[in-house]
Amino acid sequence: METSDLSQHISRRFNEDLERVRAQVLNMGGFVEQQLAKAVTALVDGDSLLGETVARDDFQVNKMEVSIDEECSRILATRAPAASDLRLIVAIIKAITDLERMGDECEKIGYIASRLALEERPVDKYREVKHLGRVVQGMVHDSLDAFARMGRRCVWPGKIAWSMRNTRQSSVSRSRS
Amino acid sequence: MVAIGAVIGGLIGHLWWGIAGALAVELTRQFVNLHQFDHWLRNRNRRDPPDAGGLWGDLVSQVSRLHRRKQFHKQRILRLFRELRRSTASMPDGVVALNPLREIVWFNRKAGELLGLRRKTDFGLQIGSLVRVPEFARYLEKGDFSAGLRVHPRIGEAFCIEFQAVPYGEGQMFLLVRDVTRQAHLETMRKDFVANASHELRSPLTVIAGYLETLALDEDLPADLRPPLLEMRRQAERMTAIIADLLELSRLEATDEQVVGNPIDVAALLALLRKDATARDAGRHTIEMRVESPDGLVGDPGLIHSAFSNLLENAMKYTPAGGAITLRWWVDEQGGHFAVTDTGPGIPEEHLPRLTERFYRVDAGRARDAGGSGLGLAIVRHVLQRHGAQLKVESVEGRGSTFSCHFPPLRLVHEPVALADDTRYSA
Repeated sequence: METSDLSQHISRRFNEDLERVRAQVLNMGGFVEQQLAKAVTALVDGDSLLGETVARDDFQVNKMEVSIDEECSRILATRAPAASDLRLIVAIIKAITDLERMGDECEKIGYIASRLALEERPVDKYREVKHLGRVVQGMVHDSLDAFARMGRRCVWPGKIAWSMRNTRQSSVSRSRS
Repeated sequence: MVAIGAVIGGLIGHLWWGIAGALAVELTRQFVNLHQFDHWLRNRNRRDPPDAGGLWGDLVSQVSRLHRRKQFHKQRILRLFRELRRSTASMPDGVVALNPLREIVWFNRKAGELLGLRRKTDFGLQIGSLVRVPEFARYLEKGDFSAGLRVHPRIGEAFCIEFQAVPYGEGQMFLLVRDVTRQAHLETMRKDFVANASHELRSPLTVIAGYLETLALDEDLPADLRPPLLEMRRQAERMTAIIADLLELSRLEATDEQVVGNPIDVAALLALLRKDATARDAGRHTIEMRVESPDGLVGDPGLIHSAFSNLLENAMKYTPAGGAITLRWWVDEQGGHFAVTDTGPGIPEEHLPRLTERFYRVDAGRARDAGGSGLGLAIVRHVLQRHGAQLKVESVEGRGSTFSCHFPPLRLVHEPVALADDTRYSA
């Protein structure tokens, strides 16, 4: 699935369609990343307003999913892609479903955060949740990066994830104790 | 050579054989030279030029001169390029060069660090697919690069970067990336300081104002102390007003996010404003209202009320008694517009651009007499900013001024809005 392969299509329009869908998926991914970060921050900081914002903005994720899905169906119907292009489209259809679900989960977290903000905060100040949030954010970020750099042998298998590098050692050891 | 061959051929009696033999020798020599030349040309960096005389020698020296010159220029350009790369790598700001398709053409080391880009593998990728912050996509799409864009790529962390796009050529652009974590932190500290200071000042002031009030009501108070006491009370009230405005301003400044808000019935809001104003004004001005559209506005009712009433209050403050003030609300294809027109003394042109600065006074002495906090227009500007609206000021000295707010069409609701109760405006 080399991007250079993509640029060899006879039909330039097809090429543009594929690139546009890819860009849309990454756009959606970026938005979901932000939603996730906001949701976790809202929960950890007890920010009810931010939580509500996250819950309210979830409709945008759904809207993006629908529009990408339609675009994919259109490409399947009109262009009849084969081989790597078909795999790309199928992968996108699967990925956006998952991204949309992540968006839904963020909405839930945001909603819960806005309700929990009114209650007393626990003694550990959601330290574990914060750490978990960072790791998950890192995973989402890295997988989207991998999708963006598709075919450019640079995904680091086995290397420490982005989030882990940015997490202070102390917070890891403290959450274990 | 051919002549020598002919002579030898003549001597042995076979003239043509002699000539043919000589030609063959000559041809072989040329071929050997050509082969040597070709061999040298292929490996010219490692081998010395072949030692040939005559035309071949000239050719070799010509070519080797060209080669040396090319080598020299290549070295120079390479040196220049390395120098350039080293200098851009040591630049404190990140630079990314983008082509018209917004694909990464080149970036320096700092940009790679700040945005998590990788050398070589990321060239040719769309910048938007790696920098996925939604605000950034909007910034590039909007195409208005007069201002930079500040984003927190990781929410909940202080890390803050600023983008500034610099278009050049035909659609290409440089993207400057700066780490502004420190500046952002300082700004937050400044805003927090203003908010905290105002908050801390408020409590002692309330006590002072309270005692002054009680004292002023005391009937045993000597007559000569009464005027200073009243003046103290007035000043305490003014200070309370300034602090309230400062607090409101710092609340407004806390975020740049657009207000979502609710539909507001502008006609009802203006009627309320006019009623309040006429009651306070005690007949000094005639306040006229011209609502030319039933359309409502989507926004924060409290903020919009505060902005509109600030504009109206300003007009009342600066228009001498007997003047007229007009409130006007109209809608056209550019959006909704609210304007306050007065028949006051007007504002000299040189003051107009600075009018919305905090504590900026056109005429220092007079404004303080009128009791303004000096923050009214700053509040108005911030409220409008958060509604995507703009404030425009037109003024002719001696004839009066018009302060107008221009809301984008997105902010309008096209049916009259039923309002639950007027208390929502008493912010």
